[in-house]
Amino acid sequence: MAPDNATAEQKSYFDQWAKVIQVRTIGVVKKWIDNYYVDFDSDPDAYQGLVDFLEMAEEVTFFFLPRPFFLKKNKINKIKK
Amino acid sequence: MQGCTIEEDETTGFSIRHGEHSLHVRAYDINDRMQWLNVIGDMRDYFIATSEQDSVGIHRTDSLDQGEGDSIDFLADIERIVGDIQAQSQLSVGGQPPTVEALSRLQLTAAAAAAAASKRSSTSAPTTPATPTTNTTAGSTAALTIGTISARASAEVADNAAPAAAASTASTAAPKALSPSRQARKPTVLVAKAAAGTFSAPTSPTTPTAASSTDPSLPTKKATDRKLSAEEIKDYALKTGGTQDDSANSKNVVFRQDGDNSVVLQFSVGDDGKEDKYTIAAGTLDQLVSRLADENNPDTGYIDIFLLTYRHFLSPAAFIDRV
Repeated sequence: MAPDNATAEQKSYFDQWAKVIQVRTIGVVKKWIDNYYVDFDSDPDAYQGLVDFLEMAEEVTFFFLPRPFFLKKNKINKIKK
Repeated sequence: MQGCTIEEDETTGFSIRHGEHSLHVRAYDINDRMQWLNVIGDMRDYFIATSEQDSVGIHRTDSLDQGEGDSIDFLADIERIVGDIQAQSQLSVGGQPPTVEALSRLQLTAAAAAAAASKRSSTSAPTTPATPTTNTTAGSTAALTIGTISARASAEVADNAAPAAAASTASTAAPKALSPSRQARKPTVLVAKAAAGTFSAPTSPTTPTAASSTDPSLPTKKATDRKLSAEEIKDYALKTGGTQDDSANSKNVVFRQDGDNSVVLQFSVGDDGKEDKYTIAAGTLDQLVSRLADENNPDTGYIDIFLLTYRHFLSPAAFIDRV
C-alpha cells in the first residue's frame, strides 16, 4: 500500500508502476536464484531472507510468481476443493 | 505453446502465430520478450487449470483435450485482451514502452476474467498493491563505484540529457536503433539549479537501521541533474580506472540526485551528436538496487553485472533485505 502521507501525485505514480516493479523485482530474484544459488546455500540469513521474500510475494500476488509456484497454488486449491 | 510459432517483427517486437491467428507483442528487448513469453505460458496454464476445475470459463472446456484447439482459443482471447490494452492511448503514444505495463494489465485482466468465470475468490487476482520493492532508508549515502555498467538508452535519459556538451565529446558507443516512438522524443536541456551533493564520498556501506517516514521511492520531486566540476571529473576518472587525462572523455558525466538517493551517470554520444546511452558509474546502495527493477529503463545487462559484482560491497543477506 502507498504510505498514508503520500500525495495524490505519488499515489497515482504508485498505482501506475507498483505492479511493474513487483514483476521486475521477482524477475531479478529469479535470475539471482538461477545463476547464483550458492549465495543462499552458503548464507543462512540470505536463505531466510529469500524465504521471507517469497512468502511476502505469494501473499501479495501469486499470479506473478514463476510457473512452479503458480501451478503449485492451483494444485493446492484443487486438492482443497 | 503447441502449434504456435514465434516470428520477429520490427514494428512490434515479435508475434506469436498459429494458423490465421497472430498475436503481436510489443517487446523491444530480450527482457520484455522473456517476460511476455513466461506470462503468456502461465496464463495458458491458468486458463486450463481453472477450466479443468470448474468446467466453466471463458474458454470452451470441450476444446481443452483437443490438442491445438485450446491454443487457438487461447490466442484468440489473448489477442482480444492485448488489443484492448494497446488501444489505450496512454500505452501506445505515451512515449514509454508499453510492454511491461501492458503485461501487468494483461495479467490483471486475464486473472480477473478467469476469476469471474471460475467464481472462486481464492484464485482471483490480487487487488491490494504491495509496498514498493526497494527498501529505501535515510542516511545511506555512501557512494560506490562499481565499474562500468551498461544501461540501455531510455526516453527519460533523452529528456534529461544535456545535448549541447555532447556534440564536442568523442564516444565509442554507436547509437542504438530506437523505435519510432522513441526517436520522436526530443531531448531537452535540464539545467541544475544548485549543486545537489558531492560525488567523491566513497565510504563503507551502511546498513539500514530505520525506514524513513516518507517513501523516497515515490517521486517527491523531479530528480535534479548537474554536471560534475573539473575536480569531480578528475576524481571520477581516477575512481573508474582511468587517469586524469581521461577527464576530457568524462564531460558527459551527470550527477543525478533524487532526495537522499544519488547516482552518477555517464552518457555516451551517438553519431548524430545526441546522448543516447548512459552508463551507471556510481550510486548509493538504494539507487543501485532500485535500478535493478527500474520502471523506466529495464536493463538485463545491468542486472547481470550487478549480480556478478555486488558481493564486493554488499552481502547476500543485506541485498535480499533491500530487495
